[in-house]
Amino acid sequence: MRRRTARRPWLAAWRCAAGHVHIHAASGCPACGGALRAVAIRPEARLIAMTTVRVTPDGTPFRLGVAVTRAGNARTLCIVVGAVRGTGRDAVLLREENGSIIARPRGARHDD
Amino acid sequence: MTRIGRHDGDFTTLLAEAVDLGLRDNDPAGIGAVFLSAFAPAELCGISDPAGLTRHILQARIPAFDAPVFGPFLTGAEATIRAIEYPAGDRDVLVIGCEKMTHADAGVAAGLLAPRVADPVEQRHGATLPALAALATAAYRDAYRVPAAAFDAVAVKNHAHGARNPLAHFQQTITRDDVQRSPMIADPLRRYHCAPISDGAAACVLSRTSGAVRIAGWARALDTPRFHERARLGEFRAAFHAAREAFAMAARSPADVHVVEIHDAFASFELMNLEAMGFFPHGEAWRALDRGALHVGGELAVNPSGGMKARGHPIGVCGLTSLVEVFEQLTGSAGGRQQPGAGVAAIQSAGGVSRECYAFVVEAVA
Repeated sequence: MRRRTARRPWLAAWRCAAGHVHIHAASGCPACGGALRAVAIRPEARLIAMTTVRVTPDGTPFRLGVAVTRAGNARTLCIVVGAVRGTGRDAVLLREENGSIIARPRGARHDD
Repeated sequence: MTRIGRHDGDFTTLLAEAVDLGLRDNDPAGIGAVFLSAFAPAELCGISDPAGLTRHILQARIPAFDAPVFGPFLTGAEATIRAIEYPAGDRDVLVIGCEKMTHADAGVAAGLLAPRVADPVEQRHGATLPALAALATAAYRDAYRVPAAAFDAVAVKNHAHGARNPLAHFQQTITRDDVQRSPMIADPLRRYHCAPISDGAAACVLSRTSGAVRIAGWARALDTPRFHERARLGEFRAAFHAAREAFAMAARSPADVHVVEIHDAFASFELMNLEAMGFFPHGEAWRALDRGALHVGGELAVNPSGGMKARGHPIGVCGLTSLVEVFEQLTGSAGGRQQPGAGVAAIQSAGGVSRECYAFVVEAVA
């Protein structure tokens, strides 16, 4: 595992021998069934879809998206925070917080 | 089929009504097996043994009834496929679907649905069925440049069809303005793009020896359990595979079909499923809708019952309600919503965001 940097924390992920990368743990690689091993990948990603969910249990709207990482093309659902255009091309940084993936626009700090 | 909508009676009353409808015009002694579908009768209605209840109702109507009762399966389509494939010899198979859920709090219903439509990872992110449906819709809209007004037009059409269906949950027409004025649920989906939750029940007798229509092809298919891992978020691969298998089995193609009952839990899904089934190239179904080709009387009547949007959405009964509708269409008994010259029909039913799909091809028997 590579050294983590302070500015852009690496993202925990899983990779099989065939090179398929996944953000979320699974018993085997969803693409090929191979065994997965833990890796760390860079958190840069592209937000390919987004919606604002207006009807929620606590009445607070939130933005839900799907992001694809630049490293390995891993896909993940994410909660979107910060100013994004939602055009399918937003560059974001991903971070895991309490089991969920948070996406913020590149340039914004994750502790903003 | 019972009226779909809000019922004051309980699950047992609805189930008994469906049994009586299923036995009407059929020989009760010829039933060799019964398949039941219901989404969550234990959690919603306190019915811990719905198969046993079904047997009890049947025993009260048929002397010495001793056929096995299987289920409950989660959807009418799944129960129907199990029934088709059951080795009943030359005996008939009764398929019953029953749902009573409008009395339940919306949060309870959503809580029951969540684990069946979203993977645990997705639930952790707050994903609900409408939220995932909105993501699929946005991806579809953006990938194929489908105008947002097309989704409004689906809802308007299906309400127009529902207005002709005396058993539909909603029997009034709506306008595009009505759709646009309805609250946003998860953009781009507004409330009037979404099917309601309904009560209702239906029953069909599948005969091995005779009948006015024939189920010529059927298939089921699964997509990846995690929606976000699909290669194309705006395409329904399970719908594609199920339809391809069902059409091949029937030695038919989409061009042969006059009527289709298709999954439209969200208005956009109707267009996406039509394209997945091969009726139109990707991103093109809205053009046919725009020129009126998908209305009753058009080239291909899509959801003449009103679909889940207007006929209603008793979760565990859908699929079976579609089978009832195409039976009526193919036998010329659909009344004011009859598609002229209907001889071949298709059905597509789905669970979640098209995570599991079922397809049927049904023909009139000459």
